[in-house]
Amino acid sequence: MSPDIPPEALARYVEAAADALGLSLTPEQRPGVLAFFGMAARFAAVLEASELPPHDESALRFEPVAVPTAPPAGPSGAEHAL
Amino acid sequence: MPSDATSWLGQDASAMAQAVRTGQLSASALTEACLQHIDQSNPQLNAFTAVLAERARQRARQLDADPLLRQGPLAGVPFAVKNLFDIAGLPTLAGSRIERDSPPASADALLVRRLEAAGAVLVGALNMDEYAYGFTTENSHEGPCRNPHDTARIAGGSSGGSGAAVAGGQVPLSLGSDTNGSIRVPASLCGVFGLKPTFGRLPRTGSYPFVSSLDHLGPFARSVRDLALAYDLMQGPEDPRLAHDPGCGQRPVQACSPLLTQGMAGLRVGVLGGWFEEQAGAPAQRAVQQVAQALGATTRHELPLVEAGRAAAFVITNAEAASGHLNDLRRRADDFEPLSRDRFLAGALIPAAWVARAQRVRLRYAQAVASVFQQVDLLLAPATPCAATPIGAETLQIGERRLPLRPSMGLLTQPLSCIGLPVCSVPVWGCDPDLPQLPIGVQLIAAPWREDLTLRAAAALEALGLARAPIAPDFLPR
Repeated sequence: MSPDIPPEALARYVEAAADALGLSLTPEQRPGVLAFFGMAARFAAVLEASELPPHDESALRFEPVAVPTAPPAGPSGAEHAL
Repeated sequence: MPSDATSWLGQDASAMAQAVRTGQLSASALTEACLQHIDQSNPQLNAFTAVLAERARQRARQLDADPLLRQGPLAGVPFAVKNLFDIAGLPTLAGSRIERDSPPASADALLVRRLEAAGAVLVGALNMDEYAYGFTTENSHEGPCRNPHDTARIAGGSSGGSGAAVAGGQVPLSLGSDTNGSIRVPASLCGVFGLKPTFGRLPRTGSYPFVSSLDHLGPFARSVRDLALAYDLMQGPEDPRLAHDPGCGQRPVQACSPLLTQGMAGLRVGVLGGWFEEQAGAPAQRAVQQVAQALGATTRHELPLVEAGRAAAFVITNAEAASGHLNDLRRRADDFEPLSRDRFLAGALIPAAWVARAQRVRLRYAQAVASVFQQVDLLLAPATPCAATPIGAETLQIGERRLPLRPSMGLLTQPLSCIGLPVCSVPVWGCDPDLPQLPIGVQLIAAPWREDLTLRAAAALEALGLARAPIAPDFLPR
């Protein structure tokens, strides 16, 4: 979906996506949701216009989890198990 | 030096702790004076959502009974935390009505434990924008938090209670969080010092997340030495065998307090132009000019890709924040804060492709800004476009433009937290001739992991008398 969304298409997407996610938008909520989604779409257009080579990585990085060792038996100083 | 406990409330945390350590003042007397001042002032400020009188009194008695405990660097110092920090025995509200139904936290947040280990005394939990999604702390469930310098005006947000409690002399030290500006905006509007450390510096364990990709925790204080001390005491890696923050860098302590007197020698200081001038009103720009002159700023810089960076922060925030609340949005949307409910609903619908691209743009922006820091050590920008606005105002004016107020308060902070830069906000006064009694904050911005430079500069400005954080005159403890 292009971020340059005509208002009617935006409204159709919002209704369909909300329905698919189990979110029932009330008449009171709908104008605000459309306005904020429209704002997000405008920001998405800015992102789309930013040049990104295909190999550019995400700022998110997954770190594999090491094999856990046994936790300490009791509170350890000022920091203890949650 | 003050002769009674109430008078000590006018001192900073470091002075209070010294008095307790040397026996001039008992922790119990200081705690009692603090609780009394909170009781008197909170009806007007609405900074506190919970006051933990018995917990505080018990902790103070423990300190008074144990000479060793009483030697901590924050011995007897009362402090409070934004109500998204876990406090044992209380549900962690995060400013919401929904979380009132949650079971109580089983343990204090890690940063609360670290400050208490240093001798500080937790006295309560503080008002905030619901789920941290706001810049004004106009909380419909708890009532708005009010600015101690003009109670008809906002305290900023989302850590409004944290800023107001310190500016109102209720506590000398508080903790807040900052995702897109939520420490720096209240620090600016309430006229106190606030530190947003580098992303990943301080562990967030035991705090309610807003946007895990962007959340930072940090302190507010009325003096730079207090800010640095609290920050130093909260640093350090977590025990890897215990539950810990996967977003934390787990870095060793890099103490800043011993470096505060180093001054500005050898530091290259520049002013941020472009976006950071365009989105600031004339008073905010004057505040920066005053700081620039005092620090000997010689260069002007424009950050590359700022608008793209801000767009990335917006999309990431909107999508991640909503995703954590999807079930509640389905079942009880009307229990959300009316001012942010529709934003959450919209955020839940954001396509994954937008979010993925936002994270890629974010990294590219961070890399571009890193190049700027090859030429300069410290950058200056306003923290807010203007001074505190009236509670309930819907718009703010920047030059000829009238903008929606609530999202626009973060225009100058969001692009910096997006890439995790450390920022200290320092309060500057008298820059708005129409509102001479109100402060505006200036952001002192450094490269990642260089909080020391921001605090050195803040200390220099404080020593010059340019940056100061007095208790609001109407709330001086009596």
